Amino acid sequence: MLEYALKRLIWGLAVVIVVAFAVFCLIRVIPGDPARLIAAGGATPEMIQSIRQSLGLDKPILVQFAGYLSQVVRGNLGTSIFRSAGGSAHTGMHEFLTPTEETGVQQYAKAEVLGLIIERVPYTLLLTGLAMVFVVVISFSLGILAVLKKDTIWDKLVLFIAICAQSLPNFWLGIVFILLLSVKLKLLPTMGYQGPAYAIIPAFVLSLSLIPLWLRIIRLSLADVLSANFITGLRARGIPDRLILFKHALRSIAIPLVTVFGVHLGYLLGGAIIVEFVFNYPGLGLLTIISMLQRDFPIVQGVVLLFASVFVLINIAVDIIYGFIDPRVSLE
Amino acid sequence: MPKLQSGGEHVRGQAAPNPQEPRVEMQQGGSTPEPMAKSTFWERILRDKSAMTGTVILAVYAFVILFAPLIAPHDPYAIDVDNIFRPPFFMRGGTMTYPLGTDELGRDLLSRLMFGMRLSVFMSTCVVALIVAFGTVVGLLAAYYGKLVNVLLMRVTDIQLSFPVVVLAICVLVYTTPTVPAVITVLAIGNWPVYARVARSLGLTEKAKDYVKAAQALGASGARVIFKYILRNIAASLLIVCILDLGAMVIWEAVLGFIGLSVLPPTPTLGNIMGAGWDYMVNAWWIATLPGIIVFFLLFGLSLLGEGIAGASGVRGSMQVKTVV
Amino acid sequence: MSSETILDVRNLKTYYATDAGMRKVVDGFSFQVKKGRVLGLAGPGGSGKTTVALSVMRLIAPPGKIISGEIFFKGRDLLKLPERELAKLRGLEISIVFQDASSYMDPLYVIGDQLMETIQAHSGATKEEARKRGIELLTRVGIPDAVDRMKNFPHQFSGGMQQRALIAMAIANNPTLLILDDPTRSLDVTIQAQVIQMLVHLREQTEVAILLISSNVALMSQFADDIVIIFGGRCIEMGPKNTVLGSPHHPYTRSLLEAIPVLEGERLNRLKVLPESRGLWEGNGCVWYSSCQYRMGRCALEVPQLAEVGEGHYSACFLGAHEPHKIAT
Repeated sequence: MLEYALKRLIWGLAVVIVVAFAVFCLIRVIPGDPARLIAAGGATPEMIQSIRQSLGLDKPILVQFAGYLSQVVRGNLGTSIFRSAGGSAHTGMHEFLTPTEETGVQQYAKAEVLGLIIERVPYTLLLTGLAMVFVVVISFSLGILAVLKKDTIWDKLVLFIAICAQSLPNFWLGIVFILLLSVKLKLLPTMGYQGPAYAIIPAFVLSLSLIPLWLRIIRLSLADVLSANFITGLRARGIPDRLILFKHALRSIAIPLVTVFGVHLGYLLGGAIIVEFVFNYPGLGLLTIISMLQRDFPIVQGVVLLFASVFVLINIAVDIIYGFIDPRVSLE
Repeated sequence: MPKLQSGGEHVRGQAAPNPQEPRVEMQQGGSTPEPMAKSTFWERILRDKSAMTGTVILAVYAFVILFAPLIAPHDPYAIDVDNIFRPPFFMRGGTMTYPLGTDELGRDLLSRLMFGMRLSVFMSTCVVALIVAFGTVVGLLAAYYGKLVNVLLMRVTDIQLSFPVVVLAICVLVYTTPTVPAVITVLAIGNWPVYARVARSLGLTEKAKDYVKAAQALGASGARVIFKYILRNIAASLLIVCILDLGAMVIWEAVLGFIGLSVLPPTPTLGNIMGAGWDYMVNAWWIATLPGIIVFFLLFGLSLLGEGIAGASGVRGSMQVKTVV
Repeated sequence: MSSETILDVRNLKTYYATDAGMRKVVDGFSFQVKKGRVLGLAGPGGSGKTTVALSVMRLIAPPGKIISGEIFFKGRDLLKLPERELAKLRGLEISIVFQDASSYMDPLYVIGDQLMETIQAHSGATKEEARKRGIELLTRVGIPDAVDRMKNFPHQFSGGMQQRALIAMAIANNPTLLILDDPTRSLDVTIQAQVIQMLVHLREQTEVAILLISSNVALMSQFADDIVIIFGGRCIEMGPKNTVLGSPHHPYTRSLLEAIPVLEGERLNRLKVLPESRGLWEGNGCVWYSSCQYRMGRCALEVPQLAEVGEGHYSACFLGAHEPHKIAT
């Protein structure tokens, strides 16, 4: 078990590094020179060049990446290009000039990427955590309902709900919610964040993109399991129905669900980005989008690194959990 | 607590007329594909009301998409400064000249939606075609030949699934001009791993079946086995996934368009109409909202059809196929 | 010596709805099982044996349905009981052991858990008490190292042990009626012998009524007291074992017994092949009509009822009790 985990971790590490490198290259190779952006209009080529030098952008890619990695290992994910440590984003080339230049302008300390990320993580965790809670609660209740009342109107209703939920772009639903609740009805403030309650609607909107899939899996797997012989065996021994459902049937469908969860995490994180954008929710997603639009490389890299690592870890965890749930599985 | 029932034979068909009062009972899942003795695929699907509803919806969409240039009331690019932010006809201030209202430049929303749908669907179809072709081939190869190809595929897809497609898309499209081919490429790159995995797992299931061994025993070459036999048998499952994915790609395009990373205005796509409309939510909510409804019905139709095909061909759980990692 | 009748099934009809029409899997079947005695239910594959067992326990699920009949268990008609009451009976008073034991146990829980679950479901036993009883049961059915084995998963048991574990679960609460559905089918011969040995023991120790379902005639002759033959969902012959096996009356029974390969004499050359019953008997007459060498015109039009052809020996055939017939030697 342990050596399996170790093997997977090493693979995982490789994966993370490859991902980080890919993003690294992508950002640097594609046109959109941050140095030029920072310099804005009226900058001489020499100034732009010195900015590039100070950002390390003139060295070959691999060297840059190696340098980046060595910093990461030391816990330094770099500093933002645009955001200042004080919390507001400043742009302008004077911040990059060394003190010997005569600028007469104060230097602003740049925000640490790691710090920015850590600051935002709790918000995104709250959002995604709450969304998962919604997903589990809603899909299980509806799924069990659908199976128990198979082929009745309830089953069809649940299926209908699932189809509707997957036919809606979830950000669109977010828009509609905002429109209805804030703009038209002026009921609830929905954008931004001033307390955990602000996470509820975004979390709900986020959960809607995952619910249809979970619902179907639960419904299908549960129906399958319930027609299995061992359920007949249990009933033949007089085990009460409630016990059969919750102790035996649900445990049997845990496996496909756990698999899906691993895959869903990716969707969840991605969906969170959009939802945060729509709702102006101050989590990692919003940070990512805005940083991308600003070409603030270090932040983007840091976030991607984080995402990749989390995803890989979750997948490994999923595999290990498999081993616990299903005794027939041997981990090779 | 409603009653549990289980066991019994896996026999398909309709239940006999029940003389006793209908108790609410849980019924067994009949999900193993069995040869349907009495009816053919076409008979079954034509009988399926919801599948037919879906087809009708899709037919309407197909019609609009194909004939947009002929039936759109206005030129989607035509600016009419006197009529900006006209609401849809069912609201106060709306007219039938601009049935669904106008946007910030006075362009007719209905026409823009028609053309937008055209472009969005076109792009989605291209994406799906690409990823199905590529992903299926790779997936089947991995399933059939196993070993190195398999491991390689799994690792590569692991890497690609490692982070959300959104980030990938953002990465690429922020820095290049988002032309139609660019958007298609990005979406294709972002989504093919899922297909490869799906095809692989379907292929693995098939590989274990007897007819494959029989074909091999008869001396059929690998490629022949894959393409002639296996492909044919998984075609139904793949078709269902394709149909549903078409809808998913439309949504993807909408997402990208919304954040400004799809084809740029003035070319209308469902996504960028919503994106532009986002800024005007307060006073012209229809711009951002109506496209969503259009998308909804398109997907709804696709889902109904997909489910119908799944039911009629005896393939189990369309959605379940997509989730195999 | 008349024993108390534990199970009295009258005119049971269980049908299944299929794409090809309504399948009359059990079509008017009656029998009785008495306390302390073993009733063997024999018949070919597809004749409805398992369906009979499931019907008695009321475990038939759609598309199957019990259409009509009465199933009296200790005087109460099971078909009229609410589900709640039935659940109380199952596993406690009536137990069933299925063939293919492994698929009837939850693969995700250890044997001990499942055994204890059955015990605790019907008694107020504590976990510890249930555990002790579980160990006792496993030992009783002949599973060695019972204490360790309690912690094994079903897939860690061999086929024979799985079957025995299932039997342990079935007898855990000392049922009054035990139904065995082809308990030895998937076992090899040596294990078969052991399991039968165990069942014989059980029968001696308790006064359990046993319904033994099997297509294995040899098993019947060893273990059953009375035999009832089912074909095409109907009872075609019933009586004490020795009578039915020794002087079978119904043409099908005779074919069945003739088909047993005999190692001496002229019959060595060819194995007789018996048709499987498909249950889709469209015709009006006897289920055995199309294969019967004694058939008469009447047989295609009327369903022969069970008629007495000897002491306690009944046969559903229009051939009278004294019609000349040959028995395979």
